[in-house]
Amino acid sequence: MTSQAANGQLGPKHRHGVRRTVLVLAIVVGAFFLLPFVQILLMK
Amino acid sequence: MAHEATHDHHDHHHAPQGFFQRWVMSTNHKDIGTLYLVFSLTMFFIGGSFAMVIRAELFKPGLDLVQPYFFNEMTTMHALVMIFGAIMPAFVGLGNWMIPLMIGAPDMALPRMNNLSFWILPFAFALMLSTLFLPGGGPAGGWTMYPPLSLQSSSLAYVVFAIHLMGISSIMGAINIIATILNMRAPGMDLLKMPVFVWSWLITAFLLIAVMPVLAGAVTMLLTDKYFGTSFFNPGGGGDPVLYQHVFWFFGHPEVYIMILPAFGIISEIVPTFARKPIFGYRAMVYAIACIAFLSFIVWAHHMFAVGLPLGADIFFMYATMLIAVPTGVKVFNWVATMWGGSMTFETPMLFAVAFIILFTIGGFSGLMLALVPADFQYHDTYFVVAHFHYVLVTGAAFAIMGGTYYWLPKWTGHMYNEFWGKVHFWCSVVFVNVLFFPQHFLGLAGMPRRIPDYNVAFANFNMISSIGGFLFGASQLIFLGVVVHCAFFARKKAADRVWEGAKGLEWTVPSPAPHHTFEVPPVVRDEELAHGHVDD
Ligand code: HEM
Ligand SMILES: [Cu+2]
Repeated sequence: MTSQAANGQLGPKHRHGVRRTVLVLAIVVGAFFLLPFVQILLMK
Repeated sequence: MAHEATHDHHDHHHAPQGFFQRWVMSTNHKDIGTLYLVFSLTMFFIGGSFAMVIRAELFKPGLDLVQPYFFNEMTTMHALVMIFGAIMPAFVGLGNWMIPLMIGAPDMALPRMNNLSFWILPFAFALMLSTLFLPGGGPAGGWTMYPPLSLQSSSLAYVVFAIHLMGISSIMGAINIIATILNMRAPGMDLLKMPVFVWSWLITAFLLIAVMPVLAGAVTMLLTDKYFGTSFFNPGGGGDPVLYQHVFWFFGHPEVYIMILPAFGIISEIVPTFARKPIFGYRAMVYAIACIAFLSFIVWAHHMFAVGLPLGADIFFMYATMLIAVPTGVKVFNWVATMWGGSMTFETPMLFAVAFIILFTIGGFSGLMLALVPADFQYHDTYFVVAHFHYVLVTGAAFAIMGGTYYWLPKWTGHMYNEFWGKVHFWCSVVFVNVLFFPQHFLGLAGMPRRIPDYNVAFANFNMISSIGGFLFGASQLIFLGVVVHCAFFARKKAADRVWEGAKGLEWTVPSPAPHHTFEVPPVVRDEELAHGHVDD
């Protein structure tokens, strides 16, 4: 079953908010993935 | 669990399509929530069967039933399946179902990603469980996968890949939940008016985003150490195995809070309903969750006292860990204060909530004991630790999930579950879980190590009691299965829209069963409709 959001029925305000949130969170995910590697390299 | 939603009479525009379209291609938060919950229940029984093998082997001293290696596979897989397969997906399922209903949103913000998050999981677990049938066997070095032991396993690559998949699924799920809560609330649903369950999930999602990538990094390093000649954790090449423990527990401790914060949220929904009072100290509840989440990042080394840390580190991590008792105490106090003077009734969800409050607190106290460095030198890697985390995870997280299931099941299916059998399930569970885990405190204090298939005859009696409790607890969960299946497919008694007399919140304003599409027009949020009444404490 398709949902309303998947049908693109969200207003532009919501769409922009969602996009911005996802972008910021994706950057955070990347940063935390690299964190242990950076930490280990710094300890060398 | 809520297959009744198929017979949904409120939705004439989108009649359900075929099975494949509806379930495999689903982008509907309710259907995906149901998929998560069914998956979680399945994993709960698979992980439970591993636990039965463990308790059968430990029924009496001696190597009786299984090979030691298989025993170690069972302890490892039991933990991985229960943590990543049963508890976490259950919370995601409850969040999927209830968060949009509670904040007045038509669906999750990213419905297609929601579908992907779920459908990754069956493949990840099929991959991980299939290693049990490989010639070299599955992983057997414990769910913490410490090197160098874990590097000896020939199935490491499969398990690492499976964990990557689970991690991707969790991260996408967390992003979806944050995007939904921050962007899709109905007008008037201010952040500090959201139900505590929604708050608990918002904070949990941030924990997931911060620590799942760290786990992915840690297991990737295991993989490259084994197959690509790196030596992150190999002293021979200038690495350090203790480093793995730091990275793992930087993930691992927040992870245990990922498994309890949504449980706190569920209890904070159930208690006000059956006490017929707004929750006591709404803001304090929210701030306490945030505070616990923050502290969870600075306590990881309490899992490593016994490796020999610098004294300063011991002291820092000991005090930081004990500090968590403060916000946790605030929560327990507020639940009790919510009940105080309320006109309480004890339907099955409330029974589970009250048991949670008492038994989770026991787990918190044994945690405090373990936080004391000198004491932990004695308790570490004994059954005392096993007792501790089963009190917080079984009578904590799992009881909250079961309580939440009874609480919302009528909303999902449109029918009341059988209260008598729900209560039977509760009383069997609460009695047998204590028979199962309480003696493990004594075993641990007497020095019985964890993760061993055989033990000194001195430990025989308590182990036998624990095993009997284990078998009976396991059998009791079949009652749960029966009640849920009966409610979903065979129950006759219709549920009211506001299923519980004292229930407040937007989710009770939609029909039971919740129609396929809800809040396509944002609802009007009135303060008196919210669970915590007017927020101006
Ligand atoms: C009052 C709060 C808590 C304190 C002070 C605390 C403290 C501790 C300590 C010090 C250990 C390490 C014991 C050792 O290995 O020697 C531990 C282990 C553990 N705790 Fe807690 N804990 C608390 C709450 C929780 C909660 C809420 C959960 C999960 C819902 C949890 C799950 C675990 C698990 C799974 C382990 C064992 C990990 C392993 O070695 O496999 N704890 N806890
Ligand atoms: Cu911890």
